[in-house]
Amino acid sequence: MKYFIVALFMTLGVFLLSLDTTAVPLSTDQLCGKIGSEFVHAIESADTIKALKLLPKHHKTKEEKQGYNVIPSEREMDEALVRAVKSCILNDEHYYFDMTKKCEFVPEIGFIISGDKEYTVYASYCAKQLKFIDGSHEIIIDCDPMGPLMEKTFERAVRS
Amino acid sequence: MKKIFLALFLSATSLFGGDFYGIIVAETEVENIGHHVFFDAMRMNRQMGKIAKNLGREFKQIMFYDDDLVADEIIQQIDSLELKHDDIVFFYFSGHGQQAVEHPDDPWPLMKLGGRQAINLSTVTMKLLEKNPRLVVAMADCCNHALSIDPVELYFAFPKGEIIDDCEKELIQVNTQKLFHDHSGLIMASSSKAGEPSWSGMMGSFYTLYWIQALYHELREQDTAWEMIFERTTQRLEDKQHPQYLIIPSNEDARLTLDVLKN
Repeated sequence: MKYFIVALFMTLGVFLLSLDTTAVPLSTDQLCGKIGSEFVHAIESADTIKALKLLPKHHKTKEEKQGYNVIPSEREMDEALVRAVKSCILNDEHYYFDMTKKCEFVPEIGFIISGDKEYTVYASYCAKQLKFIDGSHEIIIDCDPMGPLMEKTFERAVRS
Repeated sequence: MKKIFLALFLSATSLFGGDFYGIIVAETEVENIGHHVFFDAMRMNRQMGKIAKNLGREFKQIMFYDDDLVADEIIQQIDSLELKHDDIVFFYFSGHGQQAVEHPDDPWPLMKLGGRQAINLSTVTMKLLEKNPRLVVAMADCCNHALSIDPVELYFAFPKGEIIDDCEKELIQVNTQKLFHDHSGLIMASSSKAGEPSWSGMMGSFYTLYWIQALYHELREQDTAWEMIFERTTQRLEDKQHPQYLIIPSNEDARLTLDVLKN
């Protein structure tokens, strides 16, 4: 009877885990094809991600990074938020890979993923695009299918 | 006999019909879409050359691309154009764009020129209209803001090698005359309405591709009209992108209309 109850709880535990909607989905080939599997792996395996708030050029700030003004209030996100951000980024369904908008990319928020080396992801809410930066290699991908999820999730990372 | 008449007609328009100016501003070095814009510029340049040839007018080509994209120089060059009353000017832009924020009522886009420079489509159009040419065609393929849409499936229907018989050649020439020589005033278009984006893919910008296709088909119809070209283009874009156009047959009315937008 004791073993039966333990087995029942274990089964229940596995079932509840499978209901965890914040679990990070596997990245698909298309995103790997665009930004490289190392970049995707770095995001997948990151324990912490630093968020950066960015402002347009006319805002005077102490630090400039990648040509944008960066508010130097970097902070680490908690585990749940890291998972949520990963869920947004690591999903082929969230992107258009075969077309792009003809508007300027103006980043509003950034994420730094540190591992063997540093990777950066910038997001533009108005253009609905993400910019992936791996050293000198940069690529912009349209993420319209992400809808309001992007701003809702990403803003949690910089909101105090 | 018909052919001789057409040849005489064409040479007459060439003698008295002024020149055909093709002004292309292409943000070919721009981030993300530079190579799409390059295709657009090459295609439009070819189309403009064909139009000028079919009109029997000298093609005066002015291109700004790569490092030439300096707003002051573009405006200066446009200002220094000496247009005759019977000239036709076709202005085309491909690149990044956004809503003309400083004039909220202006439905036409602000064309980005790399860096922090930009020019309004309505400003360039007004400058060209002020020179009183016979017809100004002004077109911009760029975003006019941002909006969520689904992908557009591209359909490439261009014949690889164009085989044109004499009848078709005549039809194309007559239709080109109808579109350009028989019109005056302003034909203005942009690839998206205010508040909406424009899209491009590996082969170029969707609006430009479909517009060229529409022109190709319309020039082969028994009767043709500017409205049909723009409507065909809109139809091909389905509901994924919403272009806009304006046709005003008088230069003076066109200037008044553009002036109202900025006040």
